[in-house]
Amino acid sequence: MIAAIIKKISSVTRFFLLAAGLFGTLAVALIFISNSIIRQSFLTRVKNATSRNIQLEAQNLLTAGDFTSGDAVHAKNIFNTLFQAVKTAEIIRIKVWDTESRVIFSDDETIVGQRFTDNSELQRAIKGEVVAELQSPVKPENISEQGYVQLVSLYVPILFPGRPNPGGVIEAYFRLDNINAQINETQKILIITIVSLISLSFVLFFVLFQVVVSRETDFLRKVIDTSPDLIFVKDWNGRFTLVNKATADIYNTTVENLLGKTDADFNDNKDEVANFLAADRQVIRSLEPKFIKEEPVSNAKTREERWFQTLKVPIFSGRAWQVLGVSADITERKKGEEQIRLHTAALESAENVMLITDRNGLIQWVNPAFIRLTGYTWDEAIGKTPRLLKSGKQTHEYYKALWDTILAGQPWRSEVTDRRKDGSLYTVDQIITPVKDDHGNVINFVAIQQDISERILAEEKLSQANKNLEDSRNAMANVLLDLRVEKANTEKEKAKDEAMLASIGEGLIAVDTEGKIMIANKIAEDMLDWIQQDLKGKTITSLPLEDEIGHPVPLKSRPTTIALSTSERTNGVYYFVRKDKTRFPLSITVTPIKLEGKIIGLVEIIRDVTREREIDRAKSEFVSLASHQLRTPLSTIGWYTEMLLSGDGGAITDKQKNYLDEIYGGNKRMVDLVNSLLNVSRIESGSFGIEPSVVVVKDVIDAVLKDLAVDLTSKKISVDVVYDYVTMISADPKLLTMILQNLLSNAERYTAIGGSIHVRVSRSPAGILFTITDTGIGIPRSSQEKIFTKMYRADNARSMRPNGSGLGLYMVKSILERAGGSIRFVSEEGKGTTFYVTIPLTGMKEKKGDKVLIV
Amino acid sequence: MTDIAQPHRILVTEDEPAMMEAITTVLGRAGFSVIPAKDGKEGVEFALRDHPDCIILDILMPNVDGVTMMETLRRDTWGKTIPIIILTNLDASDKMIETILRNQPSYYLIKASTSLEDLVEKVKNVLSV
Repeated sequence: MIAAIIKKISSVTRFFLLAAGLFGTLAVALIFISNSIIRQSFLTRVKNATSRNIQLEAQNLLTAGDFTSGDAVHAKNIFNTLFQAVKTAEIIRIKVWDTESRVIFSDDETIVGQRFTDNSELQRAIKGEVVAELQSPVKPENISEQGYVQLVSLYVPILFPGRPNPGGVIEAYFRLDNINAQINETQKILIITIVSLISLSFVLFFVLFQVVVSRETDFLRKVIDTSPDLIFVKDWNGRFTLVNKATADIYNTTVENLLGKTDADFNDNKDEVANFLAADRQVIRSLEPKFIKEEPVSNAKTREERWFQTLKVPIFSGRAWQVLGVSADITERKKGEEQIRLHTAALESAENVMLITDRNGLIQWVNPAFIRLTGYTWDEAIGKTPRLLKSGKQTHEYYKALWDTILAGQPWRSEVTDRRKDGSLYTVDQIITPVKDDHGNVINFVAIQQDISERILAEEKLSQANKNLEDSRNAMANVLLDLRVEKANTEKEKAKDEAMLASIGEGLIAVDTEGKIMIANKIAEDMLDWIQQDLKGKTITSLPLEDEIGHPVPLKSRPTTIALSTSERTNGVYYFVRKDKTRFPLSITVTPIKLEGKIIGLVEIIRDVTREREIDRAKSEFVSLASHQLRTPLSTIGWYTEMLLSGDGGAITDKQKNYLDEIYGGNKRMVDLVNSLLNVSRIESGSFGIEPSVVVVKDVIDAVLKDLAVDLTSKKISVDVVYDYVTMISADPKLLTMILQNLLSNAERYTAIGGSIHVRVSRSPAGILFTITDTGIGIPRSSQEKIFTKMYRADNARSMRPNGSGLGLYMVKSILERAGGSIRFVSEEGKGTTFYVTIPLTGMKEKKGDKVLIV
Repeated sequence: MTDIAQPHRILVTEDEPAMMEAITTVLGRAGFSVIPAKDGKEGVEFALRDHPDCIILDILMPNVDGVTMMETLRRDTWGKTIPIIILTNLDASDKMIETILRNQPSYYLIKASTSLEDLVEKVKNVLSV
């Protein structure tokens, strides 16, 4: 029987040794990781174990073939059960020692972890020898027993396959029944076998444990590698000590390659790398986790920037604190959020009213248009149902139909009249669309409403208008009836109208929208030297019109064309060419005739202005001659006063000199006035020419300032001129001089002693800008509107300088208007004035004229 | 020098005696010798006879007007280049201005706006003295 047992045990042992050998080297050190918790569970779980179920467990285990993590638990159980069972059967006490003479396992909890280095038998066993030690005989614990018992300690090394030295020692402590007897061989073999079995189950447990651990490591590896999130561990210097595939992918490298390297080795974005390291170190330093809501990470592969959300926690690696990071790619989410934000913004800015309810009709969201239309605030609307807006204008049936439709998942469209918070009603065109989930269940309703109150109103108006039209039609019928009666009278009226037309002092031509002549009065016929028959049916544009120098007026510039296209009254002077080719100036005024806002024709009033032209010329000649006649005596007075002042008439007294100065000054003003009047006359008749040439602006300004130099110096007025990238412009030098002379001499005249004048010539979008600023008396607000009026002078200017013509600014403005420029000013009384003169970049508009202006 | 011994001679055509006197006085004071002519007819005659260094010319004058006189002188070999200063109260207007400009006057001065001092200045400019 014993032989059979031994045989069985030996076969089991062989298998165990074989199984153990498969795993090669095994670290006994693994034993050390056992702890008191495991031991506790061993002890409690094996309380009722029997050798039978040990065998069953072992068998199950061995036949299972493939080990799982559950197998490790089994192995543990087997070990525990054996450990316990063996003890209860034969052995008083069992200890497991490591090679450092430390107790790893014992049923005596108190000695676990202690070291007993002075045990020579143990030391021999650690070296590989099986040692038995006879203890001193002791009295048995059971008092009823007689004599002494002999106790034996048996030390068996734990041999791991493939390793020369034992990984530990198992000590079995048992008693010999006969105190005098030596241990017999059978007993010895039995004990050794049992101990070996324990030893081997122990080995099995750790082998399995190791397998499972390594498997679980693999499993963990797979888990972290399949994770789309970045998982990594970095040390203080930022070196990766653990990374998953996702992390390696971001840097377009392999896990193996990334280990031991830093972010800086793969990411050339220095700022990013610095931020990573700073966060890592902060975590390690503070030992606090850190959550980074979003951070950019440059992808080395795609060169695109992706956004990550990262949690970093401190972990202790066994040697030093490191940082464990888990980063989730939130780029898509971020994009999605942006999309949502955009959509929300779009919905919020929509003019249409929108609201979203849940399935039960509770309002979850409204847009600002809703708030604007209804008067309810967000808070007042959310959580309520659209009954909030119920006006009572819809029937119960209406609402039933609505709900039946939308609950069936169909959209609903209707006009609905609702009530605002303030009680007023409004009408909207409403579409309610059910929103379904993936399973087709209605989860929300979206209502979009368009305010059609205006439209309704318009429709009402229209129907009213139709009614009015109907009334009018009836009325018209009546009128027509009456008209027939009145026809005879009308005929008389017509004759009267014609008589009136004929007797109007001016030519009159009426044309339809096609330009066909409908009526022309006698004067028009005479004036144009056409007779009624010729004119009627002709188009007005076939009448020959020329400009001043004899070119035919193009169709688009003809007064009738302009009036038709602008719907405005238009007038101008043209030359009409008679049949005999003689021509005369013709003033034409065209007025569109409108009926209910629509042009139905034009009335053209024509006037022969030959006589006016002659008068103009005569007037201009008169002014010219008169000015010559006026100047002659003024010249004599001026020259002779000058000669007297120069001493040509003999020595003069100071008093006489003063008087003569007055005469001279007065005379000069008179001359200026005559010149100004002459210029005004020319400006008004439009007979002055504009001859632009390239002008050096500085030359003109310098010349003007030179004329003013004496006055400027005596008044200690400082002048500075800035040319802001402007040197030459296209302008009539005389006119430019005149403009600047007027403005600068005004600046000088109306600026007190010690003041200053700033001139700036620069470019503006409209052209060349002359800015002339003084620190003078300014233009009173009440005078600003009239300052460019002929002969107008502001009160403060009049009191400062009684002798002024009031023609200067008028002339400047007139010249600029004709030259295509402009003038404006900013002024404050008592502070000063700034005039802005603009001359188009293209230069002054050239203008033919037979007169020049006197500078 | 020669300038002192032989002063520049200026021909002045002016029908208004008062004006003639004034011009003569200041030019004389400035060291010039004046040849007076009371109209355009005399003006052409004296100019071609005396070959003055400069001519001061009015426009509105009896007999021969200033513009005609100018055109006559410009046709003469000597008169082609003689400096002419127009001194008149008539505006540089009408078609007349074109004729005047074509004959290249050195200056066009309005009497009323020109002081005698200015006139002397302009004469000196023309003669480069």
